Amino acid sequence: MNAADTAERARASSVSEVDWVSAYSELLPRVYHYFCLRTGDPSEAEDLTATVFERAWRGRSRFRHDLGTFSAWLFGIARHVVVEHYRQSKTNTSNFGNQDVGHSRPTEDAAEQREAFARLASRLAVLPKRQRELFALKYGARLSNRAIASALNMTETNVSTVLHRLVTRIREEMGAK
Amino acid sequence: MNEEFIIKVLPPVPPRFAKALYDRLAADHSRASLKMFLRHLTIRERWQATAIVLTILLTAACTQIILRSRYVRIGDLFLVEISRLTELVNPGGAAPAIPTPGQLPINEYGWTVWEFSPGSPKWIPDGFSSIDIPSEMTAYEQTIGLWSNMSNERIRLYIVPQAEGMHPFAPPGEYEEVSVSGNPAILIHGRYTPTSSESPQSERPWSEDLGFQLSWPSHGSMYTLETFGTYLAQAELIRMAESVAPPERPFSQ
Repeated sequence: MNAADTAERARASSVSEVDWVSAYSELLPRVYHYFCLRTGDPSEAEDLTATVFERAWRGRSRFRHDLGTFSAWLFGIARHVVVEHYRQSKTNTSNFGNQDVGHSRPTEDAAEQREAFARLASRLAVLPKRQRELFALKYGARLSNRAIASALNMTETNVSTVLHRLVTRIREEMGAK
Repeated sequence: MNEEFIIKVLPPVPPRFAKALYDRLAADHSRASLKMFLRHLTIRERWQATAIVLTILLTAACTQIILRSRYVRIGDLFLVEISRLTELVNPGGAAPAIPTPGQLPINEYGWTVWEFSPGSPKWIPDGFSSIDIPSEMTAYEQTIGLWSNMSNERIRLYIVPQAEGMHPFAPPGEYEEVSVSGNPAILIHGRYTPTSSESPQSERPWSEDLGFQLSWPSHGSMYTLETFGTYLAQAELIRMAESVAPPERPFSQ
């Protein structure tokens, strides 16, 4: 077997190397939260999350280990999906922070949590698009600063600095400790 | 940097949504298509799969070509090009129409009534002389002449009605178009080996050493000169054919 065959074999076997059950369990909340923070609308986040996983599943043979981790690949799809979403709806902020949240927990805590998310979403809604993306990638997708820097074409230091300022400001605005 | 307050306010993934999506993906997986299957193959495996499919198709096509007989038109005659693997002559469909002056009449037994006397060859190869024709009769062919030499090697001339579908037959590559008196004729090299009395069911291979069959059309009939071994040259057979005199009372409509 020559080098080309080996590479092709590795590419082909990459699909089976991904444990989809584990990946689904781990990445579903992260993708969902990314879209929650990006759109401010949990219902919309469900639709977009479903789109991402369906695309990833259909295109799983194109995932290449040598080009990065599975999560990075998946969030690459997610970022495309959100761009397409805004391009189609042309409503960047219209629904931001006005939606029902956490409808699976019909308790007092859930109501508090919904209210808290709505407050956070309303703060994010006024942020520039790039900062909102940065925030969503960090606290929704939970990507490392290095991965975010790579995705947004920034330096890691810059990512760290911008995030620090953002979190400090939002915390103050929300009155959180 | 205390980020706990952000994590706390994020809505949990609705369980019904997580389950529904999972089920949808699992269902999609069960419908894996050939395309998806091919995507999982390496380039070499794809080539191998393609080669296997092409080989199967080619084999099927070749089998059809090998086993199927077909009509080949040569001048005003048709030859049945047959398989080398089987001597069964069964070309698909009816034989194409052959332009002839008309159908020869038949008697109450269905035998052809020859209303003319076919001419005999004026040139005979050295060493051959005419011998008596055995008392044989068939519905379709009439032996005009039979010649033999000291080694009991024979040459036979017979005619059949051109339009009644008794066509010469040969495998591909064992026949050629030649010219008899400037007209297209068929020259077949060899014939099937005779049936073995010891094993009559065994395969009968084609042998080029079993003589020539030269067929040409004339006056609504197909003349055939045949030999049964390698004792006569092709040119001699054609010369003999060209010396056949026209019928004394040609058949006409």
